[in-house]
Amino acid sequence: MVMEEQKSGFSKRKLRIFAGLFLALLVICTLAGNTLRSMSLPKVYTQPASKGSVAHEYEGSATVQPGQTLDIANPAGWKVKKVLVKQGDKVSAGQKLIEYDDSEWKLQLDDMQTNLKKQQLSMDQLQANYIAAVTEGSESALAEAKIAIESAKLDIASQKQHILSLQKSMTEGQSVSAPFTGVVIQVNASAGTAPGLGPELVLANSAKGNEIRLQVPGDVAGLLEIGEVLDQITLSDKSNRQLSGTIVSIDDGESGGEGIMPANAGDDSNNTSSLPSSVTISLKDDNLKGGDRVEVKIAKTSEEQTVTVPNEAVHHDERGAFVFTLEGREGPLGNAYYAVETPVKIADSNAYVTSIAEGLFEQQEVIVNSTGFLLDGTRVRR
Amino acid sequence: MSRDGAVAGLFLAPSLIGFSVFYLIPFVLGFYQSFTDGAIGGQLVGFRNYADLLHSASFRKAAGNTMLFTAVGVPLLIILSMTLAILLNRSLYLRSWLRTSFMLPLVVPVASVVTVWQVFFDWNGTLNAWLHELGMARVDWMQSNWSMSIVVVMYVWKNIGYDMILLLAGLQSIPKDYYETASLEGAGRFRQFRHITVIYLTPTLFFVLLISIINSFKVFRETYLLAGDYPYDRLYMLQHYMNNMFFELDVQKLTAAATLMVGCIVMLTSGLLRAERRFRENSE
Amino acid sequence: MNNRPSLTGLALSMLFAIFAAAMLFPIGLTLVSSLMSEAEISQNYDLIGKMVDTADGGKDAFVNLKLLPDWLTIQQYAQVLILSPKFLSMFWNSVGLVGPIVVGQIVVGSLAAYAFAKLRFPGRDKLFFVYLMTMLMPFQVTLVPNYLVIDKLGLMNHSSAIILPGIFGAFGVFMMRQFMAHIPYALTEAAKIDGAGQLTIFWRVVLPLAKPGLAALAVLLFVDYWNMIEQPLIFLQDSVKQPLSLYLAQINQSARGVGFAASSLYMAPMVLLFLYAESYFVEGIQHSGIKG
Repeated sequence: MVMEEQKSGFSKRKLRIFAGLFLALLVICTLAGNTLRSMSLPKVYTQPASKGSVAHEYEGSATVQPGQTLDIANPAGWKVKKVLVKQGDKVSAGQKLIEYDDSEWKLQLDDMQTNLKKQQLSMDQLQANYIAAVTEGSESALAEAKIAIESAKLDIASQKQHILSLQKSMTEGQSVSAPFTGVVIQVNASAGTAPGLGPELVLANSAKGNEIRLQVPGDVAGLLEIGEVLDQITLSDKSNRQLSGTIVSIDDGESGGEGIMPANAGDDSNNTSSLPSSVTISLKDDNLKGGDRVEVKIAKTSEEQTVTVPNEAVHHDERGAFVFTLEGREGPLGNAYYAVETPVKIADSNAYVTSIAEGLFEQQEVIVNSTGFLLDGTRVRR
Repeated sequence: MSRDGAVAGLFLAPSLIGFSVFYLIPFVLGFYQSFTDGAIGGQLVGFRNYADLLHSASFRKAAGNTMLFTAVGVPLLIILSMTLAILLNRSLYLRSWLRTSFMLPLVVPVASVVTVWQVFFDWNGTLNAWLHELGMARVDWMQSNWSMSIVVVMYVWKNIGYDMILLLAGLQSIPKDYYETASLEGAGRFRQFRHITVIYLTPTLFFVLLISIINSFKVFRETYLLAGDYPYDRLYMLQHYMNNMFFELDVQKLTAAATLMVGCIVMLTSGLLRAERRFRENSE
Repeated sequence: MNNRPSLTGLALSMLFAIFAAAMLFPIGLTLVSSLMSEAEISQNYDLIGKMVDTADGGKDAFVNLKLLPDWLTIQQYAQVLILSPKFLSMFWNSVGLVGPIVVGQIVVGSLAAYAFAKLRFPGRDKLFFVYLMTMLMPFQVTLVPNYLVIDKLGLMNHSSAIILPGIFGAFGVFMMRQFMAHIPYALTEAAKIDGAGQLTIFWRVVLPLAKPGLAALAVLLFVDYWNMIEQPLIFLQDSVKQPLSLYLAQINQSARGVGFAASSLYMAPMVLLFLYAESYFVEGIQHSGIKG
């Protein structure tokens, strides 16, 4: 009797089918869960924000230039008689470099000396006149003779002066010598030519060494200091010799940008740092010659350790820079992950990494790449 | 007989071993622990744990609530399911559908309808919305003495099907000619009910009473899911007390309370069984 | 009894239909709400658990009981089944806990039940009374001792901590004994006279006759253990191993919309099983009530 009444409103066959479908659905969802999830959620690749510094690198080549050069001019404007050195010669201080033709002036000197002798001879005559005047006792003749002698004396003294000065300028003008030890880097003069407009000869001062000048990008230049020693300088010849050099000057590039762009400081510093600066490095090496090519490598890391992320993780929009961080929420359905837009302040960056001044903390998961378009709050899977 | 006993031992062995390990021995251990102090090694302290327990306000509150709940919920459940069974014990439209509906709550897991209860009994819930419509003030169902009635409702909802089935079976086992004879003799409906239905249903009723009491202990799941570890005072039952004692590692109080509860249940059950036996002997 | 329903019967039917609708209402509301969008759920039910300041004009704020979704969506189901693996893994956890318990308790229970029902041995009724009492105890009663035993056996935080006590539960013994007690002695005696051993009688005679009982027990056990909360709460701290019942206990507070879908999926196996095996279910309950 009990059994008779069990006819429920549901047919067993339908129920069995329904239960089968239900079970099948659950099994499929279990087995294909990952596939289904991947179809509906963008997969993200993350990397923890790590403590580090941004390495800035610069590579360039430059030509070695002398540290100090001296143009040597023709001292007297005479014709060149003989050039004693040639380009590249090493000269020591005082060494004669060019001899000049002084023959014209020798003739003049001879004339003057002859004149002097004539004047001295006429002096004898005047003295004889004077003695005669004394013996004659003629007052007027005596006075006249006295003046004549005085005048002749002055003439002689003057002539002597002229001769001396001429002699002096002849010794000065007939040659020119090196004022310091150095290298002849340019010779313009040649024997027999008349003096030109430019320097006869250019001399480099060995004591002052050589230098190179580089156009270094602002981000790197900002990390350099005057007096700093760089040692990744390679001579680009067969020897590949390593040199070291000292920074002697850094001329910042146009830095007017700071005034024009009043945007936030992060962006600002980012922009100005890209302007190149001219950096001069002095090289102390005796074997260097002007004109040698050197390869220069500068690798600098900013000193303070900050949180860094790969550049791909950093996005920009009109509100500034931001990154997507991965936020796991212990949801009722297990961990659910969301992309969260996190505004950041960029402190520094190079070709690979960006260091973040504000907005991120260490080990925070930052989304580097994703298979789908991300917005703030987009649900993702790792 | 002795051979039977040996075979019985074999049949019983798997169950008896497991039963001993997981139920019997633990219980005996617990019983022993309820007489010791908390130290390792356990000095026997006689009834001190029981004295402590009975002095504990929260235990008394919990025991009182449990008794109140049982005293209110169980009779209500039996009366309702009895009414239902008697009314359903006749031909009706959609009878099997109706019976199915009344039984369905029995299989629905507690956890899956907790949200619905929340929707109804929350401060901002539907029940208060209805009260508001009727122009009455809100009642904080879960945080007042009303909370007990909420649990009674859940208890009735869940168990009415079970009791109804038991009572239906009892009703259907009463021979129909008793009623026919009675109506031939001119007995009215009410007399039939009093003198036939009640009498013949009493053995079933004893069992229904027992099962209802036992099921009333299971209402802890509902209250736990709805109100957590520490519900409103009115809802704080013995099970909450024991659960919390467990998490507070107060083994002594817990085992003492457990022993007391077991004692009560054993006395209740054997009392009911004895009463039933006496009733049956009297009626025969 | 088998005559057509009378007019009062019709009226009664309608009354009952209303009552039945009320009984089904929580289930129906869960199912309906599971088809609403998350936005709709939070719009309707966000006020739950919030104290609205009534002095501040919040007097009229109530949750909005909604019986029909604005538009149907399976968004919540997709969320539960596809977008998060946790629900399904806990679902199979539940299956993995309940399955062995049901099978184990049926095997162990029917063996012991045979001894109680068909064999005579000293102390039988007393032992059965002990089983009966254990069956009636709330879980909390044996909490500490059970904890100590499981700890001693090294089963803590292991699914065996739930499964083993489940297998040896007293309910299976009790129920199968009630069933087997109704199998006439004549049958077993006849088999005995034919020279069958007790195992043969058990296997060939009693068990086939107790099949409806086995089915009923399976259904009842399934329902009971599918619903367990206390045991895993204490013995399975590792959330990876926890069954669905605990998951739902967590979810209801945090994500109501998803909770409705998960609840529906959680009750679905039970409801389907019940509708399919309702007769066994009823029979099982009735037999548990009949004194042997």
